[in-house]
This record gives sequence, C-alpha cells and structure tokens, in this order.
Amino acid sequence: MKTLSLKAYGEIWLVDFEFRSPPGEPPEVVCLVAREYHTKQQVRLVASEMAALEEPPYGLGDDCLFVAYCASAEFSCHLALGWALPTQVLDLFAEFRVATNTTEGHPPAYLLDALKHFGINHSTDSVEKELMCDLIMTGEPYSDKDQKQILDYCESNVVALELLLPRLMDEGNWPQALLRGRYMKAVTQIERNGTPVEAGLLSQTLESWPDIRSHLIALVDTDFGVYEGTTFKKAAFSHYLMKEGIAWPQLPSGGLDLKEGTFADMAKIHPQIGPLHSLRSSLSKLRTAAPTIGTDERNRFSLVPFRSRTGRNQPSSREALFGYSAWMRGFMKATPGFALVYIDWSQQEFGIAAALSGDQAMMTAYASGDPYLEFARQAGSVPPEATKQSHPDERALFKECVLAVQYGMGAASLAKRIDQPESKAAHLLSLHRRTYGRFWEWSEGVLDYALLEGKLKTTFGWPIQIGAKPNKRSIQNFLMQANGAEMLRLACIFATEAEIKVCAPVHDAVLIEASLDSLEATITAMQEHMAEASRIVLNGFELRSDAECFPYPQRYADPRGQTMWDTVMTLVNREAA
Amino acid sequence: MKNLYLNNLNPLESEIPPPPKCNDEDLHKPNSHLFRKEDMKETSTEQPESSKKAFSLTDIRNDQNFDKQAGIVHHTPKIEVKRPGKFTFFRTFGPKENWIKAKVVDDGPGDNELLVSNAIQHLVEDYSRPVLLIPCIDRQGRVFIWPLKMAKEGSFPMRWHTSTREAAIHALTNWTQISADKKIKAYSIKTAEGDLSEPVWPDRMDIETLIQDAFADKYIDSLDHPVIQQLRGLV
Repeated sequence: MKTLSLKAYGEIWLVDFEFRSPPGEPPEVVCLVAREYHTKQQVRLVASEMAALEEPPYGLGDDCLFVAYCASAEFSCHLALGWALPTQVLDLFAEFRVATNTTEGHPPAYLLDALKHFGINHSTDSVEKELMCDLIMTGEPYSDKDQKQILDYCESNVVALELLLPRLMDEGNWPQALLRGRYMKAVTQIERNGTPVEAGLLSQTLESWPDIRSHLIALVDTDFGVYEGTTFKKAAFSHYLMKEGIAWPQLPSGGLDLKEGTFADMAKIHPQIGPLHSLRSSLSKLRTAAPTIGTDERNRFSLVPFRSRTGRNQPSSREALFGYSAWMRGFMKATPGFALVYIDWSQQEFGIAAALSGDQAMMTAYASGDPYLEFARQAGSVPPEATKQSHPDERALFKECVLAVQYGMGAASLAKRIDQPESKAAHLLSLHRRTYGRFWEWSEGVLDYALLEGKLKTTFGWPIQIGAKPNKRSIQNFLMQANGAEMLRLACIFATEAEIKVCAPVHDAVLIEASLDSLEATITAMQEHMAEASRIVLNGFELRSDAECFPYPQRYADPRGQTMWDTVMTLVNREAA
Repeated sequence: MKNLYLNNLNPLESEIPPPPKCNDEDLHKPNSHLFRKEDMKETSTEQPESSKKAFSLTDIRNDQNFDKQAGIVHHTPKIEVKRPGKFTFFRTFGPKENWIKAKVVDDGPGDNELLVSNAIQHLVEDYSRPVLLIPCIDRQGRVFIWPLKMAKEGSFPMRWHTSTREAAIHALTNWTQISADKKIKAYSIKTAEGDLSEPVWPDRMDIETLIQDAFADKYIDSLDHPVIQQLRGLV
C-alpha cells in the first residue's frame, strides 16, 4: 500500500469551491471548478448550475480520488448542495502540515504558503486573494464580469492543487494520507451538525453583559476583594494569596503570573480560585467576542483540523462555546426529544503512556479503574486494601504525581502544585520512576530517537520535526498527545460513518446528540467506537470511557462553572425584570 | 464520470477524450474499501488475500517502540560490589543454583573485596575467605553484586552466615531489607509491606559477565598482585 501512487486511480479530481459562509451558518455555494489530473478535463460551474445537479460532475467511487486543500470546506458545499461525499480523499492541507510540522514556530499553512514552500510560481498572490474574497462576500447577484473573475480565481486554486499534488505526494505515505482525508469527511459532518444552544438566553446574556458586568464583579469579588470598581488590582490579589497561603507562580520579573493558563492551572489545584478565574476569563473574552450561532440555534465553527503541532483540531476559542469559560457551556442544550452526551476517555494520557511503552505495571494500574490509587498501592504507600474513601489524601498526591509526569514537571513545580516541600515531591517522582521503570526507559528512548533522527511519528503518521532548540518535555509528551489526537480522529470517523451525530470533538472527548428513543443504544455504540479507536492506536490495549448525559430539558452543566452560571443567571433575570 | 455535464457546460473541453476506463485489474487495486473498520474484523478473512492485507488499519500502523529504534547503547555504570545497606530494599537474581562460589581477599575494611582467580586460590588460602557472589537490584534499579560471606571450609557456619543466606533466598521473591542484630548474632530480615512492583532487571542478565564487570579492576590472578605482596609482608 505504501507504493500506491497517482497512477493507481482511474480519475483524480482536483476540486475547489468558492462560497460565502455567514457565521454559524452552512455555506452559500458560489462556484465550483474541478479538473481531472490525468486528462485535464475541467468543469466550471456557477451556483445555479450546481443547484440543478443531484450529484457532482465527478466520480465519487473507489477508483476516483478527490483532491482538495482543506477538503472539509469543499465537503460542506457538497452537503449544502445535497451531494454525497467521495470515498477516496486526499487533503493537501493535511499533507502540507505533515510535510512541515515542527517543534519550532508555527508555520503558515495556507495554499499560497504551500506553493511558496515548494518554490512554485503561481498567478494568485495574497492581495488578489483578499480582493477576491471581498468580491465573493458581496454576495449574489454577481455581474458576468465578476462571475468570470471568481471562476478564474477558483480555477487558479485548482491549478495550484495540480502543481502541489506531485510535490507533496511523491514520497508520501498514501494509506495514512487517505486516512487523514477520511477524517476530513468526519470533520465536515461534525461542523455541519454543530452544537444545539439556547440561543435566546445566550443572546439575552450577551446583551445584558455590559450592564451586569459590574454587578457580577461585585458579587464574585465578595470572596476575594481584588477589584476596585471594574479594575483588577494585582496588589490586592497578592494580599489575598498571602492571606490564603497560596503559592502563586511568578514571572521572571518577580511579578505574579496572571496569564489565563496559569489561572486555569491554579484553579485546578485551589478550587476556591475557580470563580475568580471564570470571571476574569469571561470579562476578557466577552468584551470582544461571541460564539458563532446559526439561525437554527446551533453553535457552528470550523474545527481547523490538523492545525496544532500534535495534529489536534485548533478551532477558534472565540467561535466555539467550548473555548469559553466553563460556565458558558450551560447554554448548550439539546432540542426536545434529544439529549446531549459528553463522552470522554478515562485517564487517556496515562493509558496511552502505559500501552505504548509496554509497561505492565502501568497497564495493570490503568486496568484497575483507578490508576492513581493503584500507583500508590504499587509503590507501597498504601496497603493493598486501600480505597478512594480510606486514603483520599494519598490518592490525591499520587494523582498529582501522575499528572506532573505527564506535564513533564520537575520536583519544584510538583511541590508548588501539591503545596508540599520539594523533598516530598522529589520522593513522589522517584516512586513513579521506580514503579514504572519500563515507561521511563521508553520515554527516554523516545527522546534519544527524536534527537538522533530529528523527527517522531505517531501510529498513523502524524510527524514532528525536531527543531534546533528542542524542548525535552514537549518531545517526551508528543506521542501521548499526538496519538490521543489519532484516537479521537478514528473515533470521529467511526461515529460519523455510523451516523452518530457528533456535535464537537473536545480534546479527549466527544459531545454527541442522540434521540431519547435510542439514547442508551447510541451511547453504547459511541463508547464502542471509542474503545475500538483506542485498541487500534494502542495495538490492542483498550481505554475505557465515561458518559455524562444531559437529556432535554436539562442543559449541559460543567461543575467547574456551576457557581458562576447561577450568579450570571440571577443577574440576567434581575436585569430582565 | 458524468460526461454529459462536461459536454454541456464546458464545450471547449468536449474534444478531450474521457479518462481511461478501469480494467479488471484496476478494480482489484488496493484502493477500494480502504480502511474500512470491517477490515479489522475476523469476517474480513473472506476478502481476497491482497485486499485483506492491504486495507487494514493495523497494517498501516507505525510502531511506537522508538527506544528500540533509536539504536542507542547505554553504557551501564560500573557494577558495584557491596552488601545491601541497612536501609536498602533489594531483590536477588535467581535461580540460586547459579550463584557463584568464589574466594575474595579483603583490601582493607569496608566493601573492598578482591576476587581471587581459581588458579591461585590454593596459594592464598591464608588471606582469602569464601563468598557467594549474588546479583542484586535495589528499588532504584541499580544492580550490584553481593559477596555473601560463607563459613570457611571445615568450619561450622555461624548464624551470621546462615541468616544472610536465608535473606538472599527470601529476596528472590520479596523486596527485602537486612540489618545486623547483635543480640541474636544474626541478621534480621524485613519484607517490604507494600505491594511493590517487580524489579526490572537488565535485558541480558549474564551473571558471569556481571561479575567480570564488577571485579574488572579488583581481580587477583598472580602472587605478584600488590595486595598479596602487602599481605605477605613483601612490600
């Protein structure tokens, strides 16, 4: 299969659509240009011509290869036109990311960037692209001249695909590339599905936001005393931390590190910080952004697949409700007759590390159902009969130790996290090394390989090139993260092909929507797809998953945001009254 | 192919011949049914061999055993020769029949035993003592050789001797700690209370190689050895 080449296909269709895409809505298709790679036959169609067709003017079967750049955009047009999706897909965007993914910087990945990367001269430049986008966005009716211009521009993108294809796939791994193409079909279905939201309440909340803002600050700040009016006071926060005895990360300058990520991490260790974190995050984000909601009351956004270094999706945190503070997930709500179900793999990263390293003790710990407590047992720190109830403190410490290893923390960072002396943290980390010797041997081997060969690759070929200034911890964590992404992609493929309505993939989880009539069966099916995805990625080792169900009229509830949700809703209702 | 559309909508291209049709061989090319989940299941054995082998996800899965692929040879630190410390939990490497009886000469106090070659053992009887060389490992994964003291030939073994041997046998299957108890004139044996993980021994545990490494610069194979000369009062 690795020798599969362009010659293996009877037809290779290079396809590009132009379309307008109002926020949260399915696309409005403007035109299509498709060219067959071998024969150079070409089709140019405008919206009215496409609307008359029940199927696309190119084959969709096994012998036809569909080639596009970010194919989910093209497929969204297929769905908008009621056309089926092709069987064989090669996405040159995904393959360009494969060709250029690196530990350093964040290489641009637009079509023009890909052409530039390979030194291919092309008629379109970024200025022209911008002009054409503006023209397309003006909407129909287009003049004949404009229509021709748009079609010509669309054709120039197809020509770019034609030039890129042999450059990108000359030595590429075809089967793995086609698997990525298959995922783009799943992406399209998921983006089309979107997440149902209570749009009226969200809209009301956003409209009231400027008015309730100061009340909200006053309410939340009662427990903190760190705001002066609507201004966050660092000195007051410093005083609060001292009073509470919380060790807070500092910047090299010595000041408190007040970054969003730091607040999120610290809120996990010190839950009392949670409401303040939610408040700061919401104040900052809701000032300039709002999730993109369609007229059918669904949150739709581009998943931006393969965009992160680990190959994970990287949707805009402003468009996706999941990108906002946890309390805002309360706006997600199934429609009557349906339920939202959040299903996540249990301790996914620990399970991946156990299986890929082949550490039997670690696999035993995962299989126990409570790897943290089992780790404490294996290390001899709690008796064999210990339970979560009998040894909650020890379990919490060993959990933090496991997470610290996953994050690549040293003793000093772990000590801060567990609020214990550094010697205690160092002892915990040494217990991890002793108990899971095979994992550490593998992890160090991964680092050796990466530094020697200058690259790493996941089970299904998502690579990373190691730059000049490699970060040891990121390299050692890469295979856990990137194979987690592979697993999620497979689960999404299996689920969407089985016609399960996936609303959104979320890091190590999926949010699905299921009819109440078949709720149990759908959850079971989704969990089986996730289990199968794990078995495939982990060579037979299976990861468990947990499902949390929110049937209509229940709204999605994230416990981390419950207090904030209740506070905001009280204020919104008061404002409405 | 929908040539109808091509001809109708793009007359300029109508002269271009249609793409070549697939022949039977093409139909069996391994791009059909690619990566279907069904291919993973045993029922897929009904498919033609070429198709079944080519299409399964497991076939295109990359190994993640980078530690093996790296081809790095880790030079293990020199194996120490020492008795287990009183705070050390250790395990011994079996079977006990493979433990090696040997003779050592002490070069001063502490863990300073020198191994005597078989060829000259009878010549240094007065200065040497018998030991059992036992490979051990501690909780940090460090391998060491324990030169377990034995009673001299013809002497009745003391409790110090028998208790350490008992400890070594106990440590074959248990994380063990020993400490000298002068009251009972023997070593007391303690077993770790936790359900500790099994030791991870090096891939190739060859006792003779370990001993050669451990005693590489602590080996007496001639009466001219400075330590023997010193013991004989020649220097």
